[in-house]
Amino acid sequence: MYEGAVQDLIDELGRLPGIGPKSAQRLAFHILEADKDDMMRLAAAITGVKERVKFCQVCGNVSEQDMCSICRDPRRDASVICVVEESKDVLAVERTRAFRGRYHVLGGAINPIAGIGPDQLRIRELLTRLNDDAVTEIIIATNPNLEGEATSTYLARMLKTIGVTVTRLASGLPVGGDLEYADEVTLGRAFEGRRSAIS
Amino acid sequence: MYVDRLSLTDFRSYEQLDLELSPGATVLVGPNGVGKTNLVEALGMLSTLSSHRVSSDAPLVRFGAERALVRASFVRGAQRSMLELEVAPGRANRARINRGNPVRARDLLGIARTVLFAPEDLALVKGDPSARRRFLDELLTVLLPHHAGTRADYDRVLKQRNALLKSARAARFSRRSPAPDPSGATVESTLDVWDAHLAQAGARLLHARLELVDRLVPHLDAAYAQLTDGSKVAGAVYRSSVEGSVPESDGEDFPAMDGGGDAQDGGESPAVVRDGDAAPGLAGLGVAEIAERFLAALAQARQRELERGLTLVGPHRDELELTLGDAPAKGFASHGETWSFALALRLAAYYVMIDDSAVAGDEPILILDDVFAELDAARRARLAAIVAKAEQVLVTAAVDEDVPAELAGRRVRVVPGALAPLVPGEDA
Repeated sequence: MYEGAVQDLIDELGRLPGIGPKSAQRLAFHILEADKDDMMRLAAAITGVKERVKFCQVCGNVSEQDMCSICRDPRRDASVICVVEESKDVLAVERTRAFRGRYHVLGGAINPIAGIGPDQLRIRELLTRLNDDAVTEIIIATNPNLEGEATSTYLARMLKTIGVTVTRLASGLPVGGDLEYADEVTLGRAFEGRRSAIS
Repeated sequence: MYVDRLSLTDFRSYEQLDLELSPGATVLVGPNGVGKTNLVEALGMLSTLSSHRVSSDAPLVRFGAERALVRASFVRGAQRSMLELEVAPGRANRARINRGNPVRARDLLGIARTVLFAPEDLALVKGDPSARRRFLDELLTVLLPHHAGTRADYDRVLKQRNALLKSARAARFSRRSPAPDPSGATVESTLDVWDAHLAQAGARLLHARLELVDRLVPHLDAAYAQLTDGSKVAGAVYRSSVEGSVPESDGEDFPAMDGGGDAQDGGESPAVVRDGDAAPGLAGLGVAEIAERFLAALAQARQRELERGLTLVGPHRDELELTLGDAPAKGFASHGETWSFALALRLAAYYVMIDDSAVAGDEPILILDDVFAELDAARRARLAAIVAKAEQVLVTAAVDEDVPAELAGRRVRVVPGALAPLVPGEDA
């Protein structure tokens, strides 16, 4: 055990995800020895994030204003909503530059073991957004794992009656990969989702 | 196939062991506690990735060591495969094939085929249904390795669904008001989602098990007749809880499946969903049809499941019912008959694997761990005559006299400690 401030810092760092006691100690001593101005900037960044950043009232993405930049952008297509689990998924889809619609961040996936049900996700907010008739398609882009699939099924069932087109991202082979390295499940999905090669 | 070399590092009682083996019969003789079963267990690990004795990996590693290494080279026809498995408790086990790069342990499945007869097999007949389900699933993954994934998928969905049922039950008990609770609707609709996924995964597993039982039963009857004088007929029927035909047995436990120890209450009425006639309704159905039945059964059981906070139908509650003559084998069979039945089940698995072998020399290695001591002279001789035909058979025994003369193979004396010096077979 170290004294006072040092131990406090180690304890706080150790609570971060992916940081064990050893890493916490290493980081703490790095901070201790590093340039004071640099570390003040780090502290300011942490404070700034907690004070300024909030979640977009419409889509739930991180934002410094009430609405995020994507929801404010009039050029974005308001008729398509892409539903993702986390804010970082928004970034992943944005990188494709192929999607010009808007997003809806659920804040997770249905996971009973972790105590997350539909009520803990931003599903009600999604339904509210569907009240105005602008939206014609919902693209479900939850992760292709068990929890993501369950969330997708849940959304699909709920949205069935509303009269919008509901689509699910395809899953299958990675581009640039080799067939022989694909696992059985992925390859099986790729077979199920095959499409005509003659356009 | 046969194994011609087995080497162990820090595996159970062995710090280091190298053993040369040859086709035909090899008898490992040594007093209790010197490590005969360890050898047998190591070979079993390479073929099924799990021990026949313990469910966790920790006891497999020599006390004080960090990881154990099992290495063996198998010869199938003209082909030689060198398998290596590193067992490290608390971490994912790693494997290597033919000294290549490390692969997932699962990739070993299906390469080394062994059939192990052990004293623990008595539980196949006398024990809980879970032992028989495990027998089926293990055989399934050896025959069709991709079903290891089927089982894992099902278990994952099951865990999530049980968690949901449990929290729904907790919410129901904590909320005293008789008024319909507002979140009841969401629980129901979320359950619908998990039902769909459970039925999908479960139907694949059920379909695979039903097909396997179809292949197993004729061999089971033949094997039992071979072992005994043939006066009684051994049979097996797969009873699925999806059909609602499983009689609720008392005291049954569901190891590691439901995660809840509160499954004990007596007043459970057996689910009667029987499809009008007595015919086992699932046989011959496709995966999609089984999934439909599964959904129907889940809908029927919904209320009871919400009360118990547990998934009550599905392959994890199924039973492989064993019959001897007209009576169920469990409880009605004598000790000797129970033994013969357990051996017949293993022999049937052996015959199914032989049927399944695509190329010559693919037949599994037979391993008999301390089996003969339990049998009378006539059954010993019959069993020995059957197994002597195998390409390779490994037998362990505490005393020489237990092993019948039919298995006059090489004898290896096992001594405590690191090495097993080889003694040329007296009668070879």
